[in-house]
Amino acid sequence: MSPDEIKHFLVVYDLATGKAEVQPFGTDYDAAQKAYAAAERADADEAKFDIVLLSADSLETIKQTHSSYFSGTSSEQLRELLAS
Amino acid sequence: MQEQDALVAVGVTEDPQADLLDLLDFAAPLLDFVAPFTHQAELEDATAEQLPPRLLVADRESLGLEDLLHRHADRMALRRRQLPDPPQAWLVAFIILEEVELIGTRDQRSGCRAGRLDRGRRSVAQRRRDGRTIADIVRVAIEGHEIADDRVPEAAEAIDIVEWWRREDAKPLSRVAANLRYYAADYGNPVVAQRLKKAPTISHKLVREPNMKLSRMADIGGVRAVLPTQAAGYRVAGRLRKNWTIARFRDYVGEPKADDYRALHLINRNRGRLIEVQLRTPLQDAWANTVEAFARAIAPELKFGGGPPELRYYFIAVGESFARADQGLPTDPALRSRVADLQKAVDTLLDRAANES
Repeated sequence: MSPDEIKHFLVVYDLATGKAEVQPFGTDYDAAQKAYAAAERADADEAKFDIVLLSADSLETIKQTHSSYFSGTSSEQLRELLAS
Repeated sequence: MQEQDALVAVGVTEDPQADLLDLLDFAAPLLDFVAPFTHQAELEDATAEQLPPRLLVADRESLGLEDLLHRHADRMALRRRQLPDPPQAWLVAFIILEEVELIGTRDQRSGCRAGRLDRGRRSVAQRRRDGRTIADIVRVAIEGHEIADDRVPEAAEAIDIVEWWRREDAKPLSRVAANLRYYAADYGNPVVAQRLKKAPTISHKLVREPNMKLSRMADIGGVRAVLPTQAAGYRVAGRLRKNWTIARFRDYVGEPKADDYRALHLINRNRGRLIEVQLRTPLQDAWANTVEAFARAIAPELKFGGGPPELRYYFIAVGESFARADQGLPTDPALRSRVADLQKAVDTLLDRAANES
């Protein structure tokens, strides 16, 4: 798979709720990077989010390799994580 | 030296990080912008005959640089000069593509297009005069709560530079990830993901480590592969070390970190950029992500060797037990009962956390 086929996802993780919102950019890395920088700048003062740009063949891969953004923060969810 | 001349040292090399850093280090005080990247790939078509494979420290005529510069003069905003004293006489200094683009971008944002190059040059020249580096400026930006109003533009510039630098890592990162996918495909459907480092993390690292530079930060671009077995991990690492320029190899499987993190880490030099490669087994990946999830949810200190002791010991025990599984060793009963005991303590901790929330 060439770099052109890789898809880019801006993950905006809300530190208060523990939920991640994913903005997909398809294969447009430039657009994704612009959005990345803009999101970071918008959050610079308040730092309410953990923002990261991740890329892979699919969102499923990212949910595996960077699962901590998606596994939730409640004790119940953490317990499930330990059980798995 | 005239103030309006912005100086950037350029060397075209296959291995600029290794070969140019020494040069740049000593030249840095004289330069506006320490930018050890290679343009060989971009310039290849035009200069294939003139460019030796490794073009380093020598006088510029012997390198064919003169001709190269003329060919690209219109794109490069060519302004070169020789520095005054030997051994600096061979140091060709001029503005390179990226620097021009950086200035262009910055000025487009502020809406002043006319005379943008000169304005940009003045700004970098001023930076040189007071002897500070980009990292210094970022340090000011981060400690920005206390900076005077007249430093605000400087802080904004530092953020521009960090973003620009990160953008420049994107292509090498994608290349490395594509290569890694190719190697990983020998072991089933490759699980490979790449990430560009968060700007706040980059900035904090510059602030935390006084000698850190953007050009030395090895993981602004990072790529992670999950491989089915430890043997596959070592084989892929072996191939990478054989076929790639590897600046650093860290075997955290043989020598786990204090918190029991295990993986193979390699730093690849790719066209002048340092890209970090992490190779993990599925168990190592699950372990690291679980620690990350706990750090995120209840104990950020976990990632720095802190946090509640029962949690730390629990993850160390689980890590050991996973490592045995990765090595194909049978379950160790003593270890298993330790994990079970610690799990009870962690359960209590989670109950407490649930009640508090």
